[in-house]
Amino acid sequence: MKTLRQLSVFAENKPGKIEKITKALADAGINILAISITTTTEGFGAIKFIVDNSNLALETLKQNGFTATLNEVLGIKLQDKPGGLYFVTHLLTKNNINIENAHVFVDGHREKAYLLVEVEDIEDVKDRLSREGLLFYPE
Amino acid sequence: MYWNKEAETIDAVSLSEQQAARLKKTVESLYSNIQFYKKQMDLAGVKPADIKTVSDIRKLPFTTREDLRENFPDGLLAIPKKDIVRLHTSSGTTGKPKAIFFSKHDIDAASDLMARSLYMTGLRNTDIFQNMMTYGLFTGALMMHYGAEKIGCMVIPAGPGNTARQISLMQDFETTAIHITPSYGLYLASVLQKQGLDPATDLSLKKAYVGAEPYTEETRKKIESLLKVDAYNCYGLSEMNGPGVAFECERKNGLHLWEDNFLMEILDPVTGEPIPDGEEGELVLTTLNREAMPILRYRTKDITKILPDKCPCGRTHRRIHRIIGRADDMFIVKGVNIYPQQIERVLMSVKGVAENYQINLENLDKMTVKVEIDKNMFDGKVEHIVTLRNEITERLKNEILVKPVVELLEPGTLPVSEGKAVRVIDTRTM
Ligand SMILES: [Zn+2]
Repeated sequence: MKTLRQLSVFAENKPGKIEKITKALADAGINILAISITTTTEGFGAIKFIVDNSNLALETLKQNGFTATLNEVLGIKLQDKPGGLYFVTHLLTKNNINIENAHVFVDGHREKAYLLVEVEDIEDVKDRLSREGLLFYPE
Repeated sequence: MYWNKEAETIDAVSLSEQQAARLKKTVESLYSNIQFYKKQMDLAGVKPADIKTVSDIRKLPFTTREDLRENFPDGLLAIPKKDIVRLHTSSGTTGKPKAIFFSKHDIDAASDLMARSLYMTGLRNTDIFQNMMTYGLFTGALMMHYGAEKIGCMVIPAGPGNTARQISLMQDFETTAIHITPSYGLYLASVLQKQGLDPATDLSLKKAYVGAEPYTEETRKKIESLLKVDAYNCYGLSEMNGPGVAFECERKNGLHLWEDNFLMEILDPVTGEPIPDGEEGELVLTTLNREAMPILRYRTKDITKILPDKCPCGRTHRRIHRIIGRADDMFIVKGVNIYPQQIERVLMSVKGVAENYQINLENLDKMTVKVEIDKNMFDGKVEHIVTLRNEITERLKNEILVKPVVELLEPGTLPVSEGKAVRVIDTRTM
């Protein structure tokens, strides 16, 4: 199965962290397709990226001393019309799917948008949602 | 049940008489044979004849680790060099090591105390004792070795490391007892797990003597359940023979300190005044049965307290609490005495954090514990970091009674400390 991999970088509450990470990725010629920042009230969190070359990105960040990891996420295709996001979230709720983290990602051709969700069992969720007629990334 | 019933169950009056006699003898030897002690006692205006009872100990001068260093290598010898049979050294973090000399009598006495300690935990001549400590200048491995051998165990002097070989030795020779550091104990358990070996069925282990590094009660329980052993806590220091100074009995509730061989005082680390039983203070020890290098009122800098209740095992030697911290490192937050060692022990027992930590103290007694996470712990999920942080906060609060702010940092953020570096940064101005 083709999967979508998300790059997560540990971030404590220090100014300039995102700048340093994105510079390291830029220097390695990596294209960032989506970004999401999760912070807690305690002042630390994770910065999450979808990039065009996740293996190289992970390698680059580790070499630069960052604490990073790759994990799989599910990309759910969004319809390009009002209510498109609502339609998907409604189905998630209806199927009682618990989302640990979510953000939106627009594909490389800037044509299609996807809702990226972190769920415990990707295969199971994919299975249940495809029965509702939803499409995924990669297709 | 006892290695030496008479010595272990001695009544208080007889013990006190024996201690007084031994103290007198020790002081006489010190005064007439060691320049340093003669000078110190003359300065304090005390003569050997002034020492009649145990409480006269308070007239005598202290010995510090600096005194040991200044008299390096052999300034504190009380007998001719030809009668020395063994040298051990204790490495300091700075400067010269401390040299400790033993006569034949001293080695025998130390071995006997070690045998007494191990026998107390149920070790017998049918046991196979695999010693996984470093043999060498360090007293730990050799003294344990001698004690186990004295009981009649078969001792396997394996030394540390080479885990595959340790496991084959344990399997081939049906090892029943091991002497190990807590960190190596946990590592050994993880290797066994990886190899699919279950200590309960694939090994014959029954006991583990765990020492040489600080560890929590929780780590002890972890080692016990992973290796399927009873783990015992021991206390000792090279200056006082090594590991057999105080040891846990089968109750595992405090360590019996062998008072016929060491005169114990618990003192206020700053004023040097005695502290009542049950309250924390610095452990100060005087050797009562050593001829080559007797030491008077040695400031161990270790903080502990006497557990005043009688132990159900029947031994009359008083028990001390496991070492709480180092006197030099203590700091006070919100009126509570705290030792970095308490924090270190907690952090060492939490999975997911690295070794490096720092304690910051700011005005209004704001205490922040900064700790680096383990690189492999990060799985991209912020919830897991929050859980880890909450777990550390909660455990620290239980240990030190003050709730600190815990900051989790990326590995490599904190300055790398050399040895026992300064972990506490106190910027309080009021
Ligand atoms: Zn006891």
